[in-house]
Amino acid sequence: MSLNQNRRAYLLVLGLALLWTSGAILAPVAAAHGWVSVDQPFVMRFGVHRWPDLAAFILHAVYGRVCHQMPERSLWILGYPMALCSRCLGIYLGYVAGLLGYPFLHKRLEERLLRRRWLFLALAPAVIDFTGGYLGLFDNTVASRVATGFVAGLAAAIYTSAGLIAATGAALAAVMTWRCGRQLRERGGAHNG
Amino acid sequence: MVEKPSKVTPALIGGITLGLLSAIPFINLGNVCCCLWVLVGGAIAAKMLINRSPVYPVQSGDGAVVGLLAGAVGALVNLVIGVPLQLLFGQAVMSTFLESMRNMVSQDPNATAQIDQAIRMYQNRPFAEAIAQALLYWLIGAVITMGFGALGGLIGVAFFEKRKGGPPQGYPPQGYPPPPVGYPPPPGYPPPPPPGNPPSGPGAPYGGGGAF
Repeated sequence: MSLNQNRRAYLLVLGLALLWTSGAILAPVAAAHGWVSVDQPFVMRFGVHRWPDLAAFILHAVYGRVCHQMPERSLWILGYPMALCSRCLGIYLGYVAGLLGYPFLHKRLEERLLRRRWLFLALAPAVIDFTGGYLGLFDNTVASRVATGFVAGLAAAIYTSAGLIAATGAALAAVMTWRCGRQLRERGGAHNG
Repeated sequence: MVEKPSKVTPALIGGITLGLLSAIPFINLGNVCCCLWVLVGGAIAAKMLINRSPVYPVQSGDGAVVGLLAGAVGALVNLVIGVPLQLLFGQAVMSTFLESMRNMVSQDPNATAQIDQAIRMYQNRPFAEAIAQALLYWLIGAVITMGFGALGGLIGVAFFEKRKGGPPQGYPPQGYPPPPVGYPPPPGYPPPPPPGNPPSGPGAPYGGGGAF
């Protein structure tokens, strides 16, 4: 893959990760301005509530797929909870941080991945924090959930970013090839003047 | 030439696994842990691809593709099984969920009234509207499932692929026999060539000139 293709793929992956994370953070801001319904995530009303209900439905459909969205386990902005719980937010913030560090580490990551033990070690705090809280062994806090999630997300980015960017670059190259081929076919082939 | 293994069977098995786990009510709650079942399905697909590739190490890109395909299969399974189950039993599950939310905010009369209204609207909505919402919910979820399936495939490769680089060194090409064991060349002769590169030129131990 050429340097330009690699850069494009990296920017696309980073953009999608930022969009995903910022969507969860900006959802309460939108709710505070009335752009997103806060009391009707499961049904859509018509009339003046149509678009806020649709926005709430989409937010629930997107983030509710990956998170329980319990308000008491989420961070709040402007009096409304985020679309992700604090642990999930920490994971995705860690993933974005890992992607931001990718340009400095990509040569090392593309040569050889780190040993698996480091991935297990990075996931262990989040597993312990979740399991301990679930079993009632100790009370986890917002800070512990965000911090352990951040470490897990950072490790996930280190182990998956090179492959994700390579796969995205291959997909972009395939799309470009298809588009060039379609343009050639529409013009009647390369041999026609 | 050894061809890369097909991704179809690993994607099917990983996809059916994640689709079933994501479709069955209450079991599908595992997905609230960062799409756990979807990641597991993608990792299963990657592991199966690794098992089917004895020569070439599976690259991260292959893991992402097989995970993406597993996510697509899982989304189809969810459409066939999960959406009808959701339409049949989803009302009971959602009413239970809303009731638990109501109990959590029982001290706040405004919040309680809003949740009561949500419960009434959810129970009284037309069936056609319920189907449309279920299909829209599924469509959005399918995109998420495919993305997280690709991530699961990448994580699967990181976990299970222990081989690094290209095909193993010294892998004999087809039709080229390995040198006999325990046959040292006479002193002064050059060392034997690597497999696939027969020596040529004067003084070559095998006759030179490419004739064999």
